[in-house]
Amino acid sequence: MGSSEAPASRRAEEWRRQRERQDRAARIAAICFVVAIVAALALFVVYVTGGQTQLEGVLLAVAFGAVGAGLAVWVRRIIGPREVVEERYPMRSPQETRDEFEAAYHDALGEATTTGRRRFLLRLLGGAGASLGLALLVPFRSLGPTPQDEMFTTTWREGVRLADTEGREIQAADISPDEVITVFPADAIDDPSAQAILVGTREGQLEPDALPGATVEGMVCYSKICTHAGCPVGLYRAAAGELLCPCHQSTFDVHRAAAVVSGPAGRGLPQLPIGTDDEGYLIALGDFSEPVGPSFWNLTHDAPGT
Amino acid sequence: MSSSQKARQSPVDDLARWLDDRLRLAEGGRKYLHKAFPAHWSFLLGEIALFSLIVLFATGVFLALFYVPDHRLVVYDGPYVPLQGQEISAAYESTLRLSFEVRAGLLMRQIHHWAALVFVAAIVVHMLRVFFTGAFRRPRELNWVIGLALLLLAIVAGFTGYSLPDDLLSGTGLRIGYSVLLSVPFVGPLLGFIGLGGEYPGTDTLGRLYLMHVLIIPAGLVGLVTAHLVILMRQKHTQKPGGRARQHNVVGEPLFPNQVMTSLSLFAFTVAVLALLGGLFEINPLWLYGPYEPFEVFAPMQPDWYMGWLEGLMRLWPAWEWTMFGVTIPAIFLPGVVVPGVLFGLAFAWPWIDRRWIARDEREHHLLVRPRDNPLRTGIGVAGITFVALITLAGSNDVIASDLGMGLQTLTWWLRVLTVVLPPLAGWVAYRIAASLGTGGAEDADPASPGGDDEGDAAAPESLETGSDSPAGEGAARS
Amino acid sequence: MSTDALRHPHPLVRLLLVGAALITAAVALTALFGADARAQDGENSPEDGAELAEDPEHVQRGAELFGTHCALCHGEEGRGLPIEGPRGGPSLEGVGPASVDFMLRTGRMPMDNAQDRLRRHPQQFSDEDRRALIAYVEQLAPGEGPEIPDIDGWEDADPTRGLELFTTNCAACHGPTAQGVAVGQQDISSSLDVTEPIEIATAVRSGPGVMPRFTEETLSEEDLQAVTAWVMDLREREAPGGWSFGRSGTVAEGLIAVVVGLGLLALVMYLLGESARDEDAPTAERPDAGDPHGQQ
Repeated sequence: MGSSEAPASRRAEEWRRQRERQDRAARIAAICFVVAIVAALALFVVYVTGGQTQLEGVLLAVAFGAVGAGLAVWVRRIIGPREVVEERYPMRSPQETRDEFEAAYHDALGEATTTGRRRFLLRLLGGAGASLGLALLVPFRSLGPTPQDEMFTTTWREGVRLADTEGREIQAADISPDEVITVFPADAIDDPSAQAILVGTREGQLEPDALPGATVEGMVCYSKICTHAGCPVGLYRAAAGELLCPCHQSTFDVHRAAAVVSGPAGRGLPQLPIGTDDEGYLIALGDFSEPVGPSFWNLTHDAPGT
Repeated sequence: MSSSQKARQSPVDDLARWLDDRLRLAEGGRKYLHKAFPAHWSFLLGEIALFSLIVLFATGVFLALFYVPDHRLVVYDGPYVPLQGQEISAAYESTLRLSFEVRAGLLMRQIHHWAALVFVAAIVVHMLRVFFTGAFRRPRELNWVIGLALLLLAIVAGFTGYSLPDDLLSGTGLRIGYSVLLSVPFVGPLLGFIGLGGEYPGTDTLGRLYLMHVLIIPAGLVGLVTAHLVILMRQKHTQKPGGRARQHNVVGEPLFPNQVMTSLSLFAFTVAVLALLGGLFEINPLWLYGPYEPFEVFAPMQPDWYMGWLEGLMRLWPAWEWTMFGVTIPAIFLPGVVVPGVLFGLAFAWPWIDRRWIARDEREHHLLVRPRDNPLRTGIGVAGITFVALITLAGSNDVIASDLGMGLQTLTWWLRVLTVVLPPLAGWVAYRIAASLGTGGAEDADPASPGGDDEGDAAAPESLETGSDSPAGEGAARS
Repeated sequence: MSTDALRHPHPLVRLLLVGAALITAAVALTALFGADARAQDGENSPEDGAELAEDPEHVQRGAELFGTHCALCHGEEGRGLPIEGPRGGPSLEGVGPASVDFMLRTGRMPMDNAQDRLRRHPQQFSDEDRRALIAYVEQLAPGEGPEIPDIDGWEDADPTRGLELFTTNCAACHGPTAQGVAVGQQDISSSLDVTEPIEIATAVRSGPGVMPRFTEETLSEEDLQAVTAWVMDLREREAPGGWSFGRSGTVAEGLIAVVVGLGLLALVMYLLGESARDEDAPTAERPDAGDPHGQQ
């Protein structure tokens, strides 16, 4: 087409050179496919002889990459670019077709119903469908219980001893200033919503007026569940007396009722009132000062049980 | 090269004939051989997403053969010494077994995880290509919406996936997800309890996540991908203007052999790159993180990258928690529920926003524009990218702060300012640049089919069939 | 695949293992009986601060060093000075030998500028001078602060237990792979990649910077050795999954997925998609036919 003006000898020469290039490309593609075969077989061997993750990955990559390269050379250097042109039409059907379809549809519908009752029946059918849909949703309700007190109370109660994550009960004398330890009710180790953090502070650092609950000799106990998104507030900056949640960096002032110092949490950590029993063990004097964990819409800020 | 018309006797031909005898395939199939695929490298982005999805399905089936969605505790006695004797969940144990004892298991796990990251990345970049070239315009609004739904599903698939191993990282991500659920007005706690089968951490959590991850979400993905592709075939591809490309045609490489081989090649390369990543780059070394305990946590803790924007929003958002009339609006309600909802809502509505206020154009478009051709759209897009990039960065503010030696709160404060200031600024700059490059009136010059009016149909050729079978549809060498 | 997978060894291997165990036992016994001699040279051996403080020679030498290197910020008697500009620092009364040992050993002290962040530097004192300074600071308030813990034998401690304790007590700040991260406006938790075992132990007991302390009541000597064992084990532990890019976690994973993964694929896409620009692509036409591809 385009080069028809060129002398025939020149066209023949061009054609010959192109055939050479194509032959060369075919050789490259062939090498690629051979590489793929070898890599795949090697993968098989590696796998059979015990496997090695890195080797497997590389061999798999080489095998697939070689196939990809071979195909690419084939389609680009041997077949070469082609261009086809397709006609395109507006997506909307021609008006005639549309009219015909509409007429046919209404005809068919008209045969099945009379105009007056159709609307009434359709509405009833719609109502039936909606009711049925609602009824079919009910089984989903079985997936979980209704929240009761769980959102407001924990297993902490007056008199229960504090224990560490391994169940060892804690003496008041065990905790020194700048020390921090995760505690649970001694009878409910690992209870997720009861997790609390017991912090030893230095003399005079605590501000008792700011604290809603009781402390013991500079020791204060808070819920370990962040009031923001519920991560454990596991990071204690002892020198600053700050508990920090590593998830979103809400920071709470241990000395002042774990009030929010910075970060996105909306309220302080609920405090667990603590005391000691006759044997010198730390005990809870009740449940937390507020519901623990991230806030929810019907949260009340009262202490549980009040 | 073949040029024979005589019947050949390869088994493939026999099979094709056998099938045609029963399904009458040749009649309709003939035109698909020369279906035109406009050639531009950026049109292959969607294919990378598709191929990553295929890799995800293939590796996912393998993983599912070994994974056990069970909270019950077992004593670990596998080969990974540091965890021997620890009580861990059966789920975590099965993931460790898959990683250390199943031959090629670790490779499969790592390919699966890398493929998930690349899958979402490819979707996002594909979406940006569609956005900036105006490929979402009428008649392709539906595919824009389906594509966004696919992005959403992909994100949820990723989240449910990386929550399965029950290691410390995955468990904490789940905890945050549950807390976001709790913040839904009034029914939040009920939703949370229904979702997990009780109070956090729940007893049925892993089983349900697993079902979501291996059945419900993949079913949705397959359905939507199918719809996406069927609509694409029905509407034909968009193309760049220039050459022989017009509003009323599609110019490109024929489906067979060029596009088929190009796609196969790209598929092979996609698998190769994912295998390379899976073999050479360690991802999610969950044996180092230890089993999930609700009272343990570590820093830095980031979700997979495509959740980073949500994590960042929650880190940046000020501590706004209001109590009024006895009702508490939780601090994470706005950044966790409302803002993501608004962002996705805007994205879903974009084709209609665009035609109403940006392009003010309701015609059908099959020719793409360049970003400079519509400065306003480009500006808004750049502002959006800037915003999402900034909040994604904020999701790793602690890592950035330590890498830059910057104060954590200082950085957070700067990011807060930047997320407000920088997107409009970047958008404005993009707008100015686009406007100064000049359109040459390309968007208006592009002769759109007047889809809205009836008289436009008169200009259209009679039927689809004649077009594809016309000589123009035949292969013709580029010269 | 993990190299730990040696649960059912071949009989020959088992024989070798038994032999190795015997040799180890012999070495351990020698080490046990030779311990006294080692304590004398005391490279990494525990040093009893209280004893040191009663040694006038050490205290005297310590006082001299203190006057030269420390008093400018901590005050003549180590009672602390308010921080103003580059000078000033806390009182050292009752900080204990563990704290002094950690600060000096890791070169965190002396600092050039009181406003700087505490960070690791090469140690500036000889072992002897360090002991002298410990002695001097200890006699300011004898017995109040934590002693240098005895972690001899941490090599035999149980890293499994260590991992558990590390996750519970340390990972919140230092990260699961002990890489360290920003834990506040001014503070970055240390990476434990280069930390000596004794430094881990003294840090745990003394709580340097914003780090909390762990006393023997909450973390026994045995637990401390286990934590030390895990940190050292973690450092040596190879990554079975491939290159672990400094174990920096999800952020780096995301970057690699986008930059390496999608980047490589974009390159492939570009090369594949731009076939029209390929100079070697066959475009010439067969001289005897109008259309090289048309078959009919």
